[in-house]
Amino acid sequence: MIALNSVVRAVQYAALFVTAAFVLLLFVNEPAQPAPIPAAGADVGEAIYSTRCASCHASDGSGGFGPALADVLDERFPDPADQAAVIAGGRGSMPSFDASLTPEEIDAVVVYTRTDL
Amino acid sequence: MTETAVPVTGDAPVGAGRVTLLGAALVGAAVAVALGVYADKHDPAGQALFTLGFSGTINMKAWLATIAVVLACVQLVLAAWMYGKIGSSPPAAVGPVHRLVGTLAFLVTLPVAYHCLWSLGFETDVGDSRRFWHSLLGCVFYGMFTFKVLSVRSRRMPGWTLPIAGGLVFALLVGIWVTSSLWFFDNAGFPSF
Repeated sequence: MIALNSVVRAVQYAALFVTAAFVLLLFVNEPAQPAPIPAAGADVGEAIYSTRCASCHASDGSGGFGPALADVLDERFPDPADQAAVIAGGRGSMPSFDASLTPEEIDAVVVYTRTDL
Repeated sequence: MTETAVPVTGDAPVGAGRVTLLGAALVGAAVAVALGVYADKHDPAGQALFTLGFSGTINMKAWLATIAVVLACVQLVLAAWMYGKIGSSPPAAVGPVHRLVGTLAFLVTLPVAYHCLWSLGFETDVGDSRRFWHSLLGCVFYGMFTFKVLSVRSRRMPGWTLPIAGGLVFALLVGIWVTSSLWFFDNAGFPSF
């Protein structure tokens, strides 16, 4: 019984330490710089998607924190310009990308998500 | 700290108990609000974390949350046993095991919460109801968890505080799981490791 209580207390102290570490990391953990985008070519859209979008929408576009994209974009955004506007401006918890991506890069990821996902 | 299998009912003066209750509630509320403010004001990193062998961070989060809910169910049964709601009188080990399981359940939620807070942020669009409620429940959960831990540590609380707080923590965790893991398994398929 004493041994069990010791284990519980040790785990509780460990939980306290881990909690403190997580709280600290919330403030000091800087996001990694995303991989550079190729200057041009067919893989621009894929490179942007895999480094900027896949963490929320999943690498195959099946969705995660963000909604699924694969096979639904033509229906959801009949006009690709509307999809590009959402990427540029953001929506809900989705961040805007107009400061980090050029209009050409946004167009490239729009094409990729509509044709290759 | 005295270890007992059966919870001790507070027998402190009513006034002192109320002050302690109010203090713990304020601390819990402060934790919930602080998490919400951080999640809302922090610029979301939008990046994945470690995956612990799963195929993606989201898959890992769905499974860690599921493990937390399973552990919470075990804890609920142990709590019911301690309060004499099921079975015969509990052995002395039930109390420590209850605390151990609860601590483990809390531990497995930490990487999930960290990714939500650091990488995704708070969904303020009420129209996006699943993510809005998930964000809100997540913040309230840790506030209520804080309140519950403080309740456990205090012997001045009214006797009904602990079971109510524990039940609310469990309900909030289930709500979080329904708006995340269940949704994920429903959309991505089960088991989606």
